[in-house]
Amino acid sequence: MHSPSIRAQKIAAWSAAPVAVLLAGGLVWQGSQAAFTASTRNAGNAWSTGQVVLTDDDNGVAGFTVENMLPGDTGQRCITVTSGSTVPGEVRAYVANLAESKGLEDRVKLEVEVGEGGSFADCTGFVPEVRPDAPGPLPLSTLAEVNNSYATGGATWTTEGTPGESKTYRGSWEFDTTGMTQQEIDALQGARVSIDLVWELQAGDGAGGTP
Amino acid sequence: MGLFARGISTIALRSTWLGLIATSLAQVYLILLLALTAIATVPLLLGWSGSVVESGSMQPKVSPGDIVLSSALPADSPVPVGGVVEFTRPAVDGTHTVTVLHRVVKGNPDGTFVTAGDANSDVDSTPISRDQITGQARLLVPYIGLPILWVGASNLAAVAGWMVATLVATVLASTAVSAARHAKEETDDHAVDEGSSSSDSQASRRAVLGVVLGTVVVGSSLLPRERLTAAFTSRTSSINNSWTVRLPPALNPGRLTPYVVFAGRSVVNDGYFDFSTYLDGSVGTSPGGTIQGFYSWQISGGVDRDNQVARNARTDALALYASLEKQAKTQVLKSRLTGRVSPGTYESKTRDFSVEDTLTLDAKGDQSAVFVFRASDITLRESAYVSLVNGAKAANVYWLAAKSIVLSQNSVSSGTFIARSSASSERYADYTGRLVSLDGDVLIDRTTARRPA
Repeated sequence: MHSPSIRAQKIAAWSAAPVAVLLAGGLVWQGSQAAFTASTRNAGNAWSTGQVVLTDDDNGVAGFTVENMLPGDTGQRCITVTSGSTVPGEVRAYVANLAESKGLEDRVKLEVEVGEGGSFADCTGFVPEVRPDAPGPLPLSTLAEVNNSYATGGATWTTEGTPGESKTYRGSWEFDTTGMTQQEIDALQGARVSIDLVWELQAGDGAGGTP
Repeated sequence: MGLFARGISTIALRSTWLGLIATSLAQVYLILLLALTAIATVPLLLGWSGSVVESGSMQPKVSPGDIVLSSALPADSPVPVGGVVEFTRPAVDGTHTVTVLHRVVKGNPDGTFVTAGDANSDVDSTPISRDQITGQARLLVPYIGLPILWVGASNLAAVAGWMVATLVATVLASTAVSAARHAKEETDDHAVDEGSSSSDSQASRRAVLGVVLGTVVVGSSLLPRERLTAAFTSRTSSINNSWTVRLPPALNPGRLTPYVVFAGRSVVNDGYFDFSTYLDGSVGTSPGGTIQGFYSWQISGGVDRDNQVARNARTDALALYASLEKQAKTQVLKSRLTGRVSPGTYESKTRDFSVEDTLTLDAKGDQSAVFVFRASDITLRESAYVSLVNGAKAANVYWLAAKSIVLSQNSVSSGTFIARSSASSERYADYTGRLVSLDGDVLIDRTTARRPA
């Protein structure tokens, strides 16, 4: 094999610096253009391969659809939330979109517990974690006030960053008319309240250890 | 002379293609490092701020280890919707604030802004306000912050690997510089003075080494240390959980209200010699038409024998009966009713209810409290007493018997008594309410009764 000629060596020696500087400039320019030029967020491209995905097993069906509710009625439902996250984080539960009606939101109390076992179809086997600081059942109206964002979320679950981790949450409700007169109860006839339960995972924020 | 006898031989390295490529790559790497460091630091002198990205929610365009240079976004300049901004928000654990690098997706009518990480499927759950935005991202300097991340994460292997690689590159590059000098001397003098060029090249190599290492140390110390989180987020929801109150139909006597006695077949006052019966209200029958045994003064209201008024009253009596059947059961009680009972709808443990002494209906201060007793047969025994306390009203007390109702002699009771078949009120019974037989007869004997107030 021929050795590189003196000319080749000189070219190499003198071109390295310009090449590197151009490369640096190009990297910065191209990266800045791509990242920081105003762009519209399109569904289904970059994040379809996103590292953090939280799913549940309700297939879009509401957990609670209680018709014909009478004073003293209670009920339970479970939902299994699965993290597809590859980074550690924390899942918190909170409520959103409370639709009020005739003060019924003060009378339907909901408690959300976190644990293992059970599924959306059937709560059988659910074992709640002992959480001494859990607030217990609260009226929907109170939840909507104090438990309405990730920052104020509860029933926390620290994820390890292993895809497939899951927890089951059990919601228990009660139509509590304690202290109401019959007339006040009668006034609730036909009232319908609704609320969304949201589980949110945030990761890469120093949560759960490594950033 | 062996290649390693006097270290890495300049001539030997540069005079093979492999060596030439290696040394050239080393040079490019080092100058790239310096150039990126310069780009990441010089704008800081112009008042821009720089931060190291430490997480990946802006991938693929912005990755951990990149340095982002941002210009301030004065309060009066518009927020770049579609652009990328830095903003502060409380950390997940709530103990401090973090600076987040995310894209502004849209503005809300209330003046807040929705943000999102490019790699997040969901937008950030909490919109940000204008004053949370600390800067607009302008320049992205790739990779250069990686060592800072590694040091921060105590990733010693990566730090060591990078340092060794940089050192090797520096050594290789310095040979290239001295080789260039050597080549220059060769072309200038057409003579090879091995000894002098060797010492020259070693000296220049040391100089280059020093300069490069010095620049790397100084440069990396100048690099911004602020951390930028590009937090991942994802949500899942159980939406539209709903609760609807559907109470049983309200209890309403309707057009039965004026009646104190009503029967489907007949109302009979037991014997013409009964002078003591007094019914303060109307008496009616439908579809039957028999009302007999009363002196006119014994009934304060109307006497309706299957006329339109009576037919209307029967319609509403049937509706009331149906509503009573639909009330949700509160509790099952022993068949002998006694003591104090709270508002509610009660059924008998056996099929029947009887009151033998005093039954107290306690409304607990609720004037609208309703008491419903459902059984097959209901009997108030002799001298039984139904007492209403704490706001309980006779108008809100209902007794439903699928078969018959008997108010025995000397009993004092309250409520609307509504039996499917027969009903009777015996000697000296007293009630405030109504005595109704939907399909049968009502038998009255020396009874005092009044409509509920």
